[in-house]
Amino acid sequence: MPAQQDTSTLSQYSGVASPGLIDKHVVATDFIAGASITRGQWVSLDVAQSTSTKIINYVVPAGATPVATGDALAIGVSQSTVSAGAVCSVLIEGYCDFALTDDTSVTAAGLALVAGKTVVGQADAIEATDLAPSVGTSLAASASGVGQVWVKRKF
Amino acid sequence: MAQPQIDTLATYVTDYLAGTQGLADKRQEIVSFIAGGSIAAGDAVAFDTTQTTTGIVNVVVKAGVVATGNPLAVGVALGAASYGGVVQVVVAGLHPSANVLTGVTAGTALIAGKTTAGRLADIAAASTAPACAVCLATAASNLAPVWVIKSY
Repeated sequence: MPAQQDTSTLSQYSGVASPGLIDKHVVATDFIAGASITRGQWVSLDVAQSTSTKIINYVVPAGATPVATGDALAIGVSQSTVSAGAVCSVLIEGYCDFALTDDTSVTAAGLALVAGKTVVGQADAIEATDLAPSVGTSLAASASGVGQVWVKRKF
Repeated sequence: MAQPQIDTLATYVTDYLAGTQGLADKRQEIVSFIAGGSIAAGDAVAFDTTQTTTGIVNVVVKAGVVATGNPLAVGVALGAASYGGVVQVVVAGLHPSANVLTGVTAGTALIAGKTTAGRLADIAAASTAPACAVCLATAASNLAPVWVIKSY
């Protein structure tokens, strides 16, 4: 186990060059992929499954058919690239620096995000006409289709 | 007690879904509250603001009608309760049979009390309350499985 750094003050802690010790996220490791999923894609509960118990255990890329008002079933960001039927670990809460985000709309930190609105598995900045609840907040402007985000827990 | 042999997590979850493993939860969180009035199983419930300060967050009632959505909704009742009784409320995750407006489709974000007390209905552009659940199948006879979005 790596040695813990001395972080006697908040300012000292925030000055740490590598913030890897800041582990403010939660991962659910027991979802099953209902379709191929790429690392960083936002994922949603798979309502194509036959029962409600299956629906809440299977995930697919958010907005597999993009939903103009946002995908209300989005629950987090996939940690890995997996095929259909494989176990999928999903970051369901907290800090994520590999989430797929829209460079055009996610232009700054502090924007509420909705998933699956324009591109499968991607989050856009929320708009007044969106109906899906926000899945998170941007922590920086999106670059090359990837952004740092804070994932908002849904369960 | 010996643990069952599990080859992979995928096998375990698959077996669970087939009913051959007893995974404990349904990604649910259930909290007990006191009923401030008559509540039916499946009703969306909200904090009872007629109570005194600490009572407000411990007593729930059927989510009252607010056309733009009841922002005090905290979950969906798992069982029925009468005034003063204990009611278990799903505050996060699956509720298998919630009171949902007939015809609402899977994937629709829901607000409570839009037209009827205790009933979940589709969110609209004019809604001001946050979505408190998402519909998981088309509602029939005002019932549908829902995914409750945790609000605290």
